[in-house]
Amino acid sequence: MSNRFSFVNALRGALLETAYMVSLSLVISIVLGTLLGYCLYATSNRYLMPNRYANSIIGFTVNMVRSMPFIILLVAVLPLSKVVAGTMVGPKAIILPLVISSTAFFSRLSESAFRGVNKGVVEYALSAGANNAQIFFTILLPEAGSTLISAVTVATIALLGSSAMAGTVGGGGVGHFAISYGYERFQTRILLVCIAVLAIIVQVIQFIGDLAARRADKS
Amino acid sequence: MISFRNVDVKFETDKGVVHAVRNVSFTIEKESVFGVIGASGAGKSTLLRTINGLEKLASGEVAVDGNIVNRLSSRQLREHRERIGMIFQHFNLIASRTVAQNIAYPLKIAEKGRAFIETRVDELLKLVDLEDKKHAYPAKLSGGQKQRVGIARALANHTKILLCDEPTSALDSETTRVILQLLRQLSQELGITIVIITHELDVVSAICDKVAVMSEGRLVETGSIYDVFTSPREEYTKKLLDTRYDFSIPEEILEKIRRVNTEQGRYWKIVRLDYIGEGANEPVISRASKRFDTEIDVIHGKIEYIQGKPYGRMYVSVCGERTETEKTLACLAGQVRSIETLYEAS
Ligand SMILES: Nc1ncnc2c1ncn2[C@@H]1O[C@H](COP(=O)(O)OP(=O)(O)OP(=O)(O)O)[C@@H](O)[C@H]1O
Ligand SMILES: [Mg+2]
Repeated sequence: MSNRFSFVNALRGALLETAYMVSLSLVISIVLGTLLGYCLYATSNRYLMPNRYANSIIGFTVNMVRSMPFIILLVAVLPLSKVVAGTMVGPKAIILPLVISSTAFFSRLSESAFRGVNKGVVEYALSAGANNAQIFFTILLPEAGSTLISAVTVATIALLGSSAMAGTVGGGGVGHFAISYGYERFQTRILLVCIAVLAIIVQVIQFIGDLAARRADKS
Repeated sequence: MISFRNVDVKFETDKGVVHAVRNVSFTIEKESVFGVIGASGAGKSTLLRTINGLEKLASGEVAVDGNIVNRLSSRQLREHRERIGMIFQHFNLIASRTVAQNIAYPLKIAEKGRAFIETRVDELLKLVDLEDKKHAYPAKLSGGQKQRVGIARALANHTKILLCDEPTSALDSETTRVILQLLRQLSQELGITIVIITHELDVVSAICDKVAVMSEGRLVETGSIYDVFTSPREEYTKKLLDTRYDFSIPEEILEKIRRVNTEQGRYWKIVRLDYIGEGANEPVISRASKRFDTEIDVIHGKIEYIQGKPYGRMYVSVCGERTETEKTLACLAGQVRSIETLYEAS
C-alpha cells in the first residue's frame, strides 16, 4: 500500500461496499421495522388491534434480538445467510444479520414515534370512519414523520457501525479495510484516514437527517 | 333521533372493572341541541362515544335513526361514523396537514372525488369564516380558530349529527361565546342534532334545549333546561346548580345588619328568593315594601334568561316590627317560587 493511487482506489471500493450494505439493509429494515413498530403500537391500542398476547410475543422477540451484541448475532446468523444469500462471506452475506439487528432496533424506534402521536388525533380519524390502514398511512406516518426521520438517522448511523463490525468476519467495506490494513498491518495512517472518513460520513448523515426532520415538523 | 336503552359500559382495567355507564335510557330528538352535564368521571364522554361506536356496550342498545349502533358490522360502523361529526376539547387537528387538508380529511376517507372535495372545502371555510387561513398549519391558529376547523371538518360529509366533547373547555369566555353562537346557528340553519358534553353550566344554558344530568355513571335526570335549571328534582342536580348560584353573605354585612337592628330594637330576617317565569320581571320587592312598614334591602341578586325565560335568585334583608316583617315575607312568598330563611334575629 505504498502507492497512493491504489490506496484511494481500495478505499473507494470499501466505501462502495459499505454504502451497498448499509443502504440495502437500511431500506429493508425501515420497512420491516416500521411494520413491526406499528404492530407493537396497534396491539396495545384499544381502538386498533388490541391483543395483549400478540403484543407480548412480538415485544419479547424484538427484545431477544436487541439483547444480543451485534458480533454474536452476526456469527449466529451467518449460517442462515448461506441459505438466504448463498454465501457466508462478503457484503451480501452480511446483509441478513444487519437487517435482523436493524429491524429490531427500528421497530422500537418507530413504536415510540407512533406513541408520540397525539392519541386524540387517532381517535378523531376513527370517528371520521377511517380504517386501520388509513390510520397508519394518513395519520401515524405523517404525524410521526419528523420523529421517524430522526429515527432513520439514528438507525443509519447504527448500521454504519454494525457494518464495520461485520468487517471482522470478512464482510468487506470500510470496517474490513480499516482492520486488515490499519490494524493487522499496523498502518496507523490508514486507520486514521478511515476514522476521519467515517467521522465525516456520520456528521453528514446527522446533518441531513436533522435538516429533513426539521422540514417535516409542522408544529 | 338518538336513543339509549339500558346502556351499560364497562372498562376492564388492571385494577378491576370500571362501570362507567350504568343502565342509562333516554332519547335525543332530531335537530335539538342536547346537553349532558355531570362531574368529572361521571361517564359523559363514554356515553357520547357510544353514539359513534367508539365505545362498545356491555349491554343495552344505542340507536341512531333506527339503526342499532352496537349491532353494526365493522364496515357498517365506519360508514355510520362518516355520517356523524365529532369535535373535541383539545381540537385534535392533524398537525401535519393544513386547514384545508384537515377539512378535506373526512371527505377523502369517504372517498369523495377531487373536484367535489375542493368546492366543499371552500364552502366549509366560508361557513366557519376561515377563508384566509386555508393554507395555514394548525400550529399557527388560535384556539377559537382551531375549534372552527374542527367544526368545519366535522360537518364536511353533510353530517346531521354533531358530537361535542367539552368543545369550549379550552377556550376563553369570549371565544366560548362565539363558538357556542356558531354551533347554535349551525344547528338552526343546517338542521343538525348537536349533543354537547360540558361541565360548564353556562354552556348548557346558552345553547341547549334539553339536558341530561349524569352522576357516577347514572342518568339522574333529564328534561328541558328551563325545568331542570329552575326546578331540579334530584339532590345531585340541586347541588350542582347551587354551586352556580351560590352566594354566601359576607360576615361583615351580616354583623352590621345584626348590630344596627338590635340597637334599634327591630326584628329582621335574611331570606333567599327564587324567581321564576313572569314573576322575575315584576317589581315584587318595591311593591311589598310600599305596602308594609318594613325596610327591604337587596344584598345580592342575579336574574338570567334561560331559553328566553327569566330565572333569578335574590338575597334580601327585611327589617321592621315583628308582625309587619312576617306579613311582608308572607306577601313575598305568594309571588315568588320559593323563599327560604337564612338568618333571623335571635
Ligand atoms: N379507556 C378507559 N379505561 C379504563 N377506564 C376508563 C376508560 N375511559 C374512561 N374510564 C373510566 O370511566 C369513567 C367515566 O369516564 P368518562 O371519561 O366517561 O367521564 P367524564 O364524565 O367524561 O369525565 P370528564 O368530565 O373528566 O371528562 C371514569 O371513572 C374513567 O376513569
Ligand atoms: Mg370527558
